[in-house]
Amino acid sequence: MSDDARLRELAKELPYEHPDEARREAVRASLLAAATRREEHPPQRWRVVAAFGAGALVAAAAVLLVVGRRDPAPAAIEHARIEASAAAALEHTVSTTASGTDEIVRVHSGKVRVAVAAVKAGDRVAIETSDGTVEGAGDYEVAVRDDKLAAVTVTAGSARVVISGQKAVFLAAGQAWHAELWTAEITPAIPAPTTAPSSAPTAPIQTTTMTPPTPTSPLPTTSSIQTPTPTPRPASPLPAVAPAMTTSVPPPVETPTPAPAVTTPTPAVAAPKAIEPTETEQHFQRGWKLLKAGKAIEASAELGLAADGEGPIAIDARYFQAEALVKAGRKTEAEKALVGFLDRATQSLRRGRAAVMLARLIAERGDTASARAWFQAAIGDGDPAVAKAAKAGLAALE
Amino acid sequence: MTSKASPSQPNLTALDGGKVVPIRRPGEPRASLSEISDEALLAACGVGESAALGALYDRHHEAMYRLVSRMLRSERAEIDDLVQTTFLEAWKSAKGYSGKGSVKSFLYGIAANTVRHHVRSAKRRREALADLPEPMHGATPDVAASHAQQVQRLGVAIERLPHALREVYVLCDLEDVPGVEAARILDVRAGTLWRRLHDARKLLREALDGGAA
Repeated sequence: MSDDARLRELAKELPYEHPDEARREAVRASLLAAATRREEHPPQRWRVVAAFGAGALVAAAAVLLVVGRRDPAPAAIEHARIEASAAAALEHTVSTTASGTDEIVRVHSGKVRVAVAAVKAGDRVAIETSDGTVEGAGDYEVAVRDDKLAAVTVTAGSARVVISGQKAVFLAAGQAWHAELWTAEITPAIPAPTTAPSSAPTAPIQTTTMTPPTPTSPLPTTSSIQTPTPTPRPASPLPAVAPAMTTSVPPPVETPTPAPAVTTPTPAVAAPKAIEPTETEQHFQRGWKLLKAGKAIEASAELGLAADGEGPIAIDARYFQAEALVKAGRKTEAEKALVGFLDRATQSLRRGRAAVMLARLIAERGDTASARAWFQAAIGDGDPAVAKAAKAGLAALE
Repeated sequence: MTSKASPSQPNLTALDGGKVVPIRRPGEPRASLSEISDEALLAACGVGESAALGALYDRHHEAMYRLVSRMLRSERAEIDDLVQTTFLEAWKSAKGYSGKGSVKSFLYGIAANTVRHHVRSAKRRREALADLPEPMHGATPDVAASHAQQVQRLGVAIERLPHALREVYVLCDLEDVPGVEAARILDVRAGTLWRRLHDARKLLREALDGGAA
């Protein structure tokens, strides 16, 4: 063997990166979210020029507003849907700023589930505690204890957790962050929605107090009026423009590999300390591994146990249980699991895929009318691949 | 494509606007996207199909992780960022793919560029790291010449190669990319590539021999 060949053989023994499943999926989700954002807002130079112009116009308008008459501020628009546990204590404030709308949910204790859909640039949605802030686009759950941030779990989209004096932690769908001192349960879990897809909130929602913007202070500070650009604010992980509920992390329908991120309550990028996973999470992790190993029957059993638990992981578990059951050839049970998932997961990004799966199962047993209904339900899915699959399914039924 | 539909077993493969839409029956192994070529996936990326980007990532992420981590010893998060940037750049520049060379080579080229830019921007930090002593502490004389030590020493030597030599060595000798293709990926002339490869090998041999002596 020549020296060069020997060198090559030795060099090939050097370790290189093999990302694990959770890491791989986290990067994938982040990549797709970034690509979607880029697609919606392609970087163009004229936009920079336009931004300067717009900034000048905004500044001029602001000066006119203050120097001239003081009209009441325009009505602030809510961007987030907030569901709180019965014991939660919070204040929900929506106010107008120079650049848009600030929607702040100040949580003192308990659990809050947040669904943030499309938020325009300049607007902001944040969950605040005495020690930190959570911002994001998508679905996430925030747990607060003693006025301090205890945990954040992202089920769709992404979120950024900032604890005072610490570096920001970015979470992708399925990842969770836990404070150092974390106990298993703080407050009873939020009852999951049980009705069919609907835009209206279905879980018990604690009445939140909304503080209207004071007519005399439509703009935050005088200094912000004098500057030609809007008041700077911390950068958001998703630039608050992507309709994250539907498009930020589009799941490819043709590669129905389940995103495993939910199986990693303490992923490397998210959790500074290892946390003992809950029973539901343990079942989910075991089920996920079995599913990946091709042991569909065992996987369906484990995922079924996880699905009987609580929280967003349980809802996802039902979906993967259905997938395992399909693989195991137990199609009737798979149908049942999919219906269960669709009933509970009113906001999940996997709704479309689940609907297409269900429609195909139903079509296989000849019930074309029901199958058509489920295909039609998936036609409007944010993921173009899912929508196409639904259309093709309908065409096949015809 | 023929399509026979029966009420009980509808054929779920269909034509949609003149384009074959692969549909997978429940229970079937996922084969639909695997039937689409890399080139078609890249073309789909060019028209904004994010699912195609996901499929491209699924197909090539391991190679990109391997290449990036071989070119740049760094923290995992940084490797993740570079891999993600590689695919994002591919997504952005998919329309510009000329069809010369494989899609994998196209991705290799983007990854090599991404790493090069990263190395340049982090040069000061890299130099500071290069000043650190070799991690040879704890080795006793009788194990110093062991195979594992050689591999370790080679790793350090590769890390210390100038980036222009390291990227050539990684592509040609570790990723087994043919010279002509590697030259195209790195946008250098073939003569330059061979000279760099020769220099890299020489430096690595010297590092190994020097360590063993």
